[in-house]
Amino acid sequence: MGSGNFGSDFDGWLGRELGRAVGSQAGTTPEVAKTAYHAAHLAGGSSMTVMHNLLAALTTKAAAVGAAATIAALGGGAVFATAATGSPNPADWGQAAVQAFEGCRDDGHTASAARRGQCEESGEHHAGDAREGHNQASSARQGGQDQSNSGDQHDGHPASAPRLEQPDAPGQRQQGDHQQQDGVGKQDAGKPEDAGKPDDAGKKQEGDHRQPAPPASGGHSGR
Amino acid sequence: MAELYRAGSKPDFDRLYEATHPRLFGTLITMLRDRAAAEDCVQEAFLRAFRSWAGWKGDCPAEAWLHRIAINVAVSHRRRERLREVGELVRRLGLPADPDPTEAAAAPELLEELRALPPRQAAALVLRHVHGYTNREIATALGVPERTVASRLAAARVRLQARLRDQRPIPGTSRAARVPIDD
Repeated sequence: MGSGNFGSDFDGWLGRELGRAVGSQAGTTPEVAKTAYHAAHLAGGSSMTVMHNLLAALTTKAAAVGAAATIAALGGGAVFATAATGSPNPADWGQAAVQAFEGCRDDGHTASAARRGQCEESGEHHAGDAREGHNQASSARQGGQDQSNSGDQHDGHPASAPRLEQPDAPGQRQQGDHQQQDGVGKQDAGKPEDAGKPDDAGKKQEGDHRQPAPPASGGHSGR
Repeated sequence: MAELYRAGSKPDFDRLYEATHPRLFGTLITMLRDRAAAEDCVQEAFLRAFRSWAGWKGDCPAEAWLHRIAINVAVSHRRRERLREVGELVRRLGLPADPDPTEAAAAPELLEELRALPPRQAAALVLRHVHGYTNREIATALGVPERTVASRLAAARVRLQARLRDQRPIPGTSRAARVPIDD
């Protein structure tokens, strides 16, 4: 090659030698049918990507609306329970509901049927689920069961407040993850200028944030 | 002659592939260790380009746009390669590596020196001296402002010239001992 003999015309020498070196490495172009992009095209390709992006965007928005609604519902319940009991502690909310029905049960032994009805109605209003509360409280009274048992088997009141402490965590977490995945997908997709950015986002790529000036040829053209 | 391509058209992308694959491969072969890596990266670049093809705006030559994607893929590949080399270096505990005889026979000296340059500098040299790109097209391909291209080309020439002049095989060392530079 004579690398030490490029003389003063280094550019000329470099052009010739580079052409020769690169040419010596040239191979045949694989057929289109054997390329990865063609396989992707057959498998859904770019149209799949567009659909995926659209779906991801819609899913993200739907998930965001759902999450907002859940938060609003939980938050609203919490505000109501805090106002009713005067305590922000969810444990107090449950305790207050238990006490309300304990009071009803005690009254039930002595007061008239009308008074029991009022009490039950009051308790049901407190809990928010009138039918379930009425039926379960009545059966508990009739059976003389210990009211301190599991809240789920009672009137629904004690169970309702602690539920605030136990939101559907797995579901919410999945929802959150889904949103995050969608977000990543949205970042990755779509931008032609970002299609081949190096994987290492941490290392600054010179000029990656700058748009090169369009060449004079412009338009939809190759070289 | 400027080729016309319609964004999102599969037949047009096929034409683009046929027209540009050899040049993309030629560029990447100077940036990467071997032909297999270059071919893998070219295919990956076409795949990425195809996924973005529908959104291609045509505000730059399609080949320069493809080159930009391919160069970025190659840079990422080199980084991963470098990490593997560091792992191997630690594993060998400083024992000099024997160069692959087939690789040494297949790769001309100049290619070896090009691969030791920062990959974007090597790409700039190839785009200019092999593919005949203008500074503007190189700027698009490298993702840098046009004014940066001239200085980058000059730096690449100086560095390559120095490496070629200095290259004297030192007994007991191998080419693997020369640590390539990343930018």
